[in-house]
Amino acid sequence: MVKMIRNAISFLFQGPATRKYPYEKSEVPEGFRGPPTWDIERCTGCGICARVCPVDAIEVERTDEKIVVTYHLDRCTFCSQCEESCPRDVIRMSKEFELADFDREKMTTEYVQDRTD
Amino acid sequence: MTPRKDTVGRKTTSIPVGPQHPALKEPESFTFEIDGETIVDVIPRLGYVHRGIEKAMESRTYIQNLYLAERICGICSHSHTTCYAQGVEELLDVKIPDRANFIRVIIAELERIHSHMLWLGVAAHEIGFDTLFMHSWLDRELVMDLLELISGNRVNYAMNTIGGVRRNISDDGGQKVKDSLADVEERMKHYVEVIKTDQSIRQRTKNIGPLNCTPAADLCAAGPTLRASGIARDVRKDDPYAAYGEIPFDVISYDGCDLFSRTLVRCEEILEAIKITDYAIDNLPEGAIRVRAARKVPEGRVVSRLEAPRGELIHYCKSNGTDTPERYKVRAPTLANVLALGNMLIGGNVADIPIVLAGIDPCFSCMDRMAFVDTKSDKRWTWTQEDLQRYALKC
Amino acid sequence: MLDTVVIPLVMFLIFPGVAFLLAMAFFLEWIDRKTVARIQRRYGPLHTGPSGILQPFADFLKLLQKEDIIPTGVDKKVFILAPILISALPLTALFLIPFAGPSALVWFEGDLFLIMFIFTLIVLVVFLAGYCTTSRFSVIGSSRAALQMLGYEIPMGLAMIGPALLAGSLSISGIGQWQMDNGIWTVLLQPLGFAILVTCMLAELEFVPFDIPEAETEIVGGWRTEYGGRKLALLKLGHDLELVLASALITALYLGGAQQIWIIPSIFVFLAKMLLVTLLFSLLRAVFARMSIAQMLSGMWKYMVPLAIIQILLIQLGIGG
Repeated sequence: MVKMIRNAISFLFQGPATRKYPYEKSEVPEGFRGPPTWDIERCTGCGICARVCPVDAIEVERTDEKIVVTYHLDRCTFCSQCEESCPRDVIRMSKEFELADFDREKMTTEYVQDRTD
Repeated sequence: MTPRKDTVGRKTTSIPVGPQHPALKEPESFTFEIDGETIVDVIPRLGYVHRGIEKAMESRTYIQNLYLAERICGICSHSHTTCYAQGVEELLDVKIPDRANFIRVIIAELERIHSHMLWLGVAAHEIGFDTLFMHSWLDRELVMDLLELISGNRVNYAMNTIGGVRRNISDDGGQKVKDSLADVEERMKHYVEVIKTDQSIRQRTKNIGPLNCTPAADLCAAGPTLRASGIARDVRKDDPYAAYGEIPFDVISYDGCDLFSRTLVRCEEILEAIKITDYAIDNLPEGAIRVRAARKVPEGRVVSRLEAPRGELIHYCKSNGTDTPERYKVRAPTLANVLALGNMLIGGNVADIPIVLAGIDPCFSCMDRMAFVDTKSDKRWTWTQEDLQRYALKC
Repeated sequence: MLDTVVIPLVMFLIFPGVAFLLAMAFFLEWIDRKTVARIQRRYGPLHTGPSGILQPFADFLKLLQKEDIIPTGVDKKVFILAPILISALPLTALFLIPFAGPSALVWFEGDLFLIMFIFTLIVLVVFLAGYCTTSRFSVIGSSRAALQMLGYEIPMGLAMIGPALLAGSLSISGIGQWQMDNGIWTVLLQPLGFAILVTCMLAELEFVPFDIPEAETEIVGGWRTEYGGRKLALLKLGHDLELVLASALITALYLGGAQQIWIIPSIFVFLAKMLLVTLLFSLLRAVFARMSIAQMLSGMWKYMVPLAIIQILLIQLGIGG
């Protein structure tokens, strides 16, 4: 009890350890697994990422004119298996972490590579 | 209030604890029959967080299942993937590199540290000691930050893959882990001191929730719950997996058979886990961190087990030569420990319900894959005809 | 007219009457929340007003506009009356405390007994408030509140009698006056009585380690479970007023009351002392685990009652008297 009181008093003057979150954001470390991004110009459209994804968050569509990668943020579990499986290192995990939205439509990102030229 | 008569004919009051109740962090229902302030009976109802994971695993490939297995539990996610990967590696007959084994141990021990610190906080909250709760969770953040630094995520580390681990630990990273753990160790020593000397904590934990050696073994209790009943049983020592065979450590056990012992076992296990982590980082072998593994798994059956923070975790996998398992089964430690709850609670006080429930460190989403498997083995746990009918109608 | 009507009216309604006491109630709740938060290394209330000082008041306003529900099966009369009584009783008792200067708004020989009676009455109303509902959490909570009272009521009464014996007066204002005349604080003569009174007040306020009647993890909201909206707002206000009452009473009985130090007006001295007592409550409630009801009762009867009697004996023997 005495130990706890001494500890409590010393903490009383140390100031809070929590962060005023929406106003003060924390730094995420190197290698943080945020939502994946595609460097679409280098993508071959092989579709391995779509196949390995455990939650069907990625759709790849390849035609003669273009490659379309559709990424569904609302399904993604940020496991980074796509990044690992990509044979050409096209996919990188970003450092975003404030991902909530009221609108499900906004959760879908499309990457389009024009192959006509 | 429905006055009900218990087996001896006393009028009792039934208090529902759960499915929604402040004492439970996850939905699970316990109906307590109380006489004044004394518990005369307890009727559990499991299955509120049944998510059909085992069935879902049958329709996914082995690689995809890694991430599903990880999500069986939010706290011991690494234990579940390690257990899964170990099993599949055995089926594939793949031997993973030493470095990968050591990294698995480091993550597993960091997970044990933060899981036990989480438990300490929850237990403190259950006995109304919110300051200890806040402080221990504050120190737990150090470990969470380390895990984020190593793996890129605070909770679902996704470190394991079939054939090794996915990320390396750099020398710099290893040093950071050791530095942070030194702080954690100092704080933990302070908590052990507080727990051992604080009168108000002793009052609420000494001789509360008794579970003697024999019933503990008979009811197949596992993990710290069992070790606090004087039985030093630990998969890490008894059947070493990963790199545990090469790392010296002690199995902590106390024979107080009460909550006080369970608290001390967990706290000292943290100190032991810090030693293991330090040793593993110092002796991290050089070399690759993963080997290639085939996509399709040959036909076979395997049981894989390891020591999760809450106790012995068992995975069973039956493969049929394709890239998806044919049958998967998980036995989480909470299911082993929940049987012992009856012994601990009956005869106790209403005031002790939350802390005794918390005392086994229950993880109901881990446990709820099949409802009430073994509950019929003990008479006090049998469902009444009425309950069964109600349940049958609901399903 | 001015002397007989306006000034007393202002005194009763504004200072040191109702408005002042309500402001104090919200202020002390803020102090308490902030202190506990800092001990736990959190911020505590932050956004409403400077450093969140208006948060308790904002909580009160918010609760006032919530839907007012009377569950089926409750005893309506008691259910409606209990919150009003719980907030009115401590307010009544607070008129007997000499905040500014030697005498309170109302005082008479024997008002110490009235205060003790009001403390008991509050617990009785709490008991009824929980017992009139059909929720089992409330019923258990209220019976715990009543049981708990059996434990701390007697040592609390004895600890309040100590200063009265010393001052030879059964009035709180009289005890305050005696301390001022003799230039000494009772706490220095009877530290044991002070410790007992602080402990019992923690129990009366349902603070950890004695928050047994509303033990959240055991019985959800305790005796308050069924209350919501306006009624809950009044219950919380009542609790805040009780905090003011407890700290003011300890200040008046043991810490020298409203004496003037140098040029600082007596009211500020009194408030500063109250603040100190509140800080003491906050510190104590942060460093304990909750007791169970059996431990609390046996602890009170085994240690507190004998100690309180020893304190009275010591005074009779002339030690610290």
